[in-house]
Amino acid sequence: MRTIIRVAGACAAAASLSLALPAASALAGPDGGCDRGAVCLYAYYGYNYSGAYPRDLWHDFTENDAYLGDDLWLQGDTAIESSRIVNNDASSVKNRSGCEAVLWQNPLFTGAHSTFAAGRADPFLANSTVGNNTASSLSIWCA
Amino acid sequence: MRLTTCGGAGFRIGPPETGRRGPTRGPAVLGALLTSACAAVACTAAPPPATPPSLAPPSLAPSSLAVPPPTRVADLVLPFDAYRPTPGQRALMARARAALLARCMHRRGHAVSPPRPDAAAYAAGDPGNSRRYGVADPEPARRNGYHLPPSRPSSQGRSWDVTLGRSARRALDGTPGRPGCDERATAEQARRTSPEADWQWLALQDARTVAETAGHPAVVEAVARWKTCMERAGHPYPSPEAAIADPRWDLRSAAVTAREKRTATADTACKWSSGLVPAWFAADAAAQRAVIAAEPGRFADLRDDLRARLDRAAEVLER
Repeated sequence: MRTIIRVAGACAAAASLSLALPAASALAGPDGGCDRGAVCLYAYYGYNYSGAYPRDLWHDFTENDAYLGDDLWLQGDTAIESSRIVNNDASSVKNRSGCEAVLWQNPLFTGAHSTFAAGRADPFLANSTVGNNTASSLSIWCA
Repeated sequence: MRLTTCGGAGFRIGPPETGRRGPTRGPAVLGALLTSACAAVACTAAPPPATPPSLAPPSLAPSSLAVPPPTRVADLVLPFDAYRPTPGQRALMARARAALLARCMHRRGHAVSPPRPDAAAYAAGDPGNSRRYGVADPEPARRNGYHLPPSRPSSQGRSWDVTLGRSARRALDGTPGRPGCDERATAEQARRTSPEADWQWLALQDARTVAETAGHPAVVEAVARWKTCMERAGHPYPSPEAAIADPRWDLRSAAVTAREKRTATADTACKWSSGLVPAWFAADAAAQRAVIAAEPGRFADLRDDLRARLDRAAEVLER
C-alpha cells in the first residue's frame, strides 16, 4: 500500500529536466552509471552515491514501461534482483536514451508527468522537478 | 481518479530492459496493479503531506470558472502550465545545451554534433494533459488505443555520443577532478537562474491537485455516468482505470488490437459525453488557481527562473 499512498501525496509532475539540477559525471557500471541508450532510475539520492545509503539499487530501461511495479531494483555490479520494487521508490534518474523520457504519476502513462530531456540527469528528484518516490510508469519518446 | 472497484484490471509483466535483470514476476504483478489502480481511493487514506494544507474541494459554480468548459483535449490548459516550459521552449533549451556541448568538446579537441531538436519534434512527443485524467483524446485513441503514440525505439545505436572514442568520451563524461562537458554544459545553462525557484514544490502541487480533485462530487457523479455510457456502448467496466488496465491489451507491447482501439475510442467519447473530463478539469483548474493565489511569491520565483533560463538559452544560441 505504500505505493498508493505515495501516489496520493506526491508524484511526478509536469516539468522539464531542462530545469533540473546539474548532471553528474557518468561512470561505468551500476555504481551511479548508466549505459548510453538507457534511462536509469536509482533508489537513493545522488545516483546511490551517498555513503549514507549502502545499497546500490538501480534499474535501467530502454523502452516504455507501463508499470514500474513489475520491476525489482537490481543490486550493484551483480545486478541480482532485490526484494524492492521500483514503483514509487525512485529518488534520482539519468536519461542517456538520446530521447526524452517521461516519468508518470500513475501506471499506464496517466496522471501528472515530468519530462526529462535527453542527456540530462537529476541526482535528487525531490529537489528538482519530480516528486521523490512517486513515479509509476516511464515512457521514452524519440523524435 | 476515484475508484470504487478494481474488478477486471490486470497487468502484464516487466518491460524490456538491457537484459541485466532476472526473471520477471508475472502473477505477482496483478495484485500490485490492482492496488495501484485504486490509487485515488487510497489517496483519501494517505497521511497529510508535510507541506501545504489539504486542498479544499474547489467550487464548480460558474463564477469560479475562469474559462469556458473544455470540449476537447486542446482546451485542457491548466493554470500551472503557464509556469512550465512549452515544448518549443524545451527545444530551445535543448538546442542551447547541444551548442554548449559542441563548444566544450571542441575546446577539448573533439568535433561533435549533438542533435539540435526543433520545436515541432518536441511538440509531437509532448503528451500535454491528454492523459492527465486518463486517456481522453479521441483521435489518438482511434489510432493507438490506450497505447502511447509510436516512437522510434530507443537504443544505444541512436544516441549521438555512442560512437565517441575513449578520449572523447572522457571529455564528455569527465574524469575525477575534472568535470566533463556534459556537466559543464548543465552548469553553463543554469547561470543566473534563480535558486529560490522551487520546482519540486510545483511538482507536488501539480500531483496533489489532480489526485485530490478526483474525489470531488462532480467528478464522482461523472464517473457514474461514464460507466453507464460505456455499458451502453458494449464495454462494461467498473471504472476508467479498469478499462485501460484490461489484460487483453498490453501497453508494453507495440501491438494494438482492433478491440483495444474500439474500447479506447468509446472510453474517450464517454469521458467527454459524461462530463468526466470537463468536471475533473474544472476542479483541477480551480484548485490550481487557489494555489497560485495563495503563493504569489513562489510563482513569481518560478516565472523568473524560467525566463532566466530561456534568456540564457537564447544568449548561448546567439553567440
